Amino acid sequence: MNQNIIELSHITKTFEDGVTVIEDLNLSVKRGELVTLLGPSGCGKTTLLRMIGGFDMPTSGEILLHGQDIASLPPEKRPINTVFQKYALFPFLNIYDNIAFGLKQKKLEKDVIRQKVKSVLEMVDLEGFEKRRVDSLSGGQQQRVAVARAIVNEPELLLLDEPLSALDYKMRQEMQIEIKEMHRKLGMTFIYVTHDQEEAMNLSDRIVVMANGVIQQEGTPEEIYRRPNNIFVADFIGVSNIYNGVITKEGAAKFCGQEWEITPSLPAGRRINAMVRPESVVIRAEGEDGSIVAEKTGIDGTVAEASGKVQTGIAAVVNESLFKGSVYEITAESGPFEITGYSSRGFAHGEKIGISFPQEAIHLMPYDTTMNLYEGTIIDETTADFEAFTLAIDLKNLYKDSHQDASGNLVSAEGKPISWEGQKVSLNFNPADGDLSDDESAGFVCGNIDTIIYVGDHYMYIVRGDQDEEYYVDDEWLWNVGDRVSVVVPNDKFVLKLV
Amino acid sequence: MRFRRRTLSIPYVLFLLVFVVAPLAVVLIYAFTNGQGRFTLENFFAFFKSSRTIATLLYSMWIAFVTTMVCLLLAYPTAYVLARGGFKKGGALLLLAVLPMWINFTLRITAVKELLDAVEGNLAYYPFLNTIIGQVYDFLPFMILPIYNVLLSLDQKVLEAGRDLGADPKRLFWQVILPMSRPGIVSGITMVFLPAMTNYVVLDMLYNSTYIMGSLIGSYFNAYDWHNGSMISAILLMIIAFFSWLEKKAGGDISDSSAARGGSLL
Repeated sequence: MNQNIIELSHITKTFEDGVTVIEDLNLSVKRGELVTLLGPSGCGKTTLLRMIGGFDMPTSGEILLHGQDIASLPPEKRPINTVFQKYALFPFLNIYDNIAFGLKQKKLEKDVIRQKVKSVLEMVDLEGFEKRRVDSLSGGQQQRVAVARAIVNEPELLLLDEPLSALDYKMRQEMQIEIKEMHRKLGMTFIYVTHDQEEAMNLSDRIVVMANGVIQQEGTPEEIYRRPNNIFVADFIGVSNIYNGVITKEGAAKFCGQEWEITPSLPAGRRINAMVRPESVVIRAEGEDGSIVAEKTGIDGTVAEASGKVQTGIAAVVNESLFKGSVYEITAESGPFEITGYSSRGFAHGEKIGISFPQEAIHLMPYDTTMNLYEGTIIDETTADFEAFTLAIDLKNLYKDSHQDASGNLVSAEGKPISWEGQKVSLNFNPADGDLSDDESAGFVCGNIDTIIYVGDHYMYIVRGDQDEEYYVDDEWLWNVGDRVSVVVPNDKFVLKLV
Repeated sequence: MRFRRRTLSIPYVLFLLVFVVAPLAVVLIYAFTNGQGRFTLENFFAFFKSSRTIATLLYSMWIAFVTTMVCLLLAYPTAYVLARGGFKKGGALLLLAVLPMWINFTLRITAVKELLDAVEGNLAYYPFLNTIIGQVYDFLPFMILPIYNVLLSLDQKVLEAGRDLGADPKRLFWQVILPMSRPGIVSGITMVFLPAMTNYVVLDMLYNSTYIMGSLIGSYFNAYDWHNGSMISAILLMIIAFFSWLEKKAGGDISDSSAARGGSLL
């Protein structure tokens, strides 16, 4: 028997206003699993949950529950219950009737209902609250009622839509433990939506990281944390040091100011993103002899019991040293690069230290080569149309060895006329060649800043254009999410190709 | 220029004193005195001894009750469709429903009278029916508005929770939407029932010669019997106070009943 309780296949959701929030998404959840859908707001995680619950219909694709397509079934016909974000309790019913609501719909016997409500109230620690009114309960208590109201129906699948977001930090942590316990006791399948990566780490058997309606990565909390697929996931989960780099030779990569030994085997010349988590960063104070080389033995102030080989490091200067309770968070600068590491002792601002990354702690991620790739059409001799923008082109550069004949028509080297009209072209530029400007006329296209990822010595921006297209641009200046910017790329940095 | 709160409240306090407190005091003084200016409870007992006054009270209540029920039956579906029908211009449609309120009601009743006259031939054949038609026409917007406001502000998530827990659309209506619209219904009932008890002009205009509370008071005052007339007014006040208290008990359950007061268009 198939042990997947629910399978989503090729789900796409486009709202009436034409915005696509989920694109060709596939996901399956095993019976008894606690899966978290994690992502920033607007990534489509709530829409996905609503489609599983039956409150939204997918535009296309199947939702299979035990292999049966339930995509068009209304919510009341699905053996699925939801814990809503702001509880959504019935204000006109007392606690008992709130919890009994679902059981009454099933027309169960009064005694059975009473018994079930009683035992579920015990489970959420609210014995004796039967006659209380909803508005006489605290946020945490209302949350428990919301959970009780859902699980009392013994659904095959429990959906939780950011159930703890309205609670304060301490309460949230307590409830996380309770939800985890409840999941273990009930053996029910939970799908949990949150934007809080810490919550996702604490709770999940498996985390599904989403962004822009697409699953970025699925895996156990540890997998997601240690081996993120891309820099979006690396940046979103936990604290991370991310650097752009390049493979220099077999087993070595250059990033963050020097060449490091690495484990993965990749061809030389391949561009990469390297990530090191702060707890893996080896920090050593300046030695008596003035040496600032971090070594494996006698490492000063390093929490990480660095496994494997510690490499010769780089010299850095402490910028910030924050006491975080169990560790000090040290932010240091080495040339243009910033490094964050954890240390068992604090350092003074300006203190010289050595920084090193253990070979095993260096995680490499692909450098996205499909970024900044656009397709357009030649519309006249000097212009190509890329829908979101138009670009001045020179046909002679585009067609190799071409020239204009006597009448001004473009001909090939052999003198044959070239028909360029409607020809498709691709455009690509390197993020490093781009710049951002607040002068809207300065660049070739305008958009709003969507994502900011700090990459060691500069920021990587994703600018979202007015037609929902993306531009990746590196810039050393800090902008804010939502800022209106234009993307400036020098003309000679555009790579135009015939398709 | 700055005013202190106390200074700003002077116009309202003056208005209150002249048009509410003073007349109320006069009514109460007249109600509990006799022709010689002595204190007496005689007027109070007289009201309950007279079968004519009691009959008038019951008839008033009956008219008010029927008016209220018909209003409710007409207003709830109307408000429901306007608020939840998914109209892009729901607000404009609501405006159509409450537009007549902007015209003086005697003019409106005159129009109704002409219509009924044309249909029935002689208004005198159906005095009760005509009264109810006139009253409902007069009060319907007061029932639609608060219900509309409550239905419009229903928490969508709570309705989704109802579906999620197994209620189909029909049961969702009876078990969730209707209970949640109670503040609007209660508010609408009070805004229709109490005025309907005394709205004697409608009866006069539609040739219903039976007295209701309003006409009864008028008849005493026309006969210069200030004391008994005032007492009936005072008793009516007490009835209104009683119903207001009842409303508070019935509608106060749901903290967010402010939406039910509505009247944003007025």
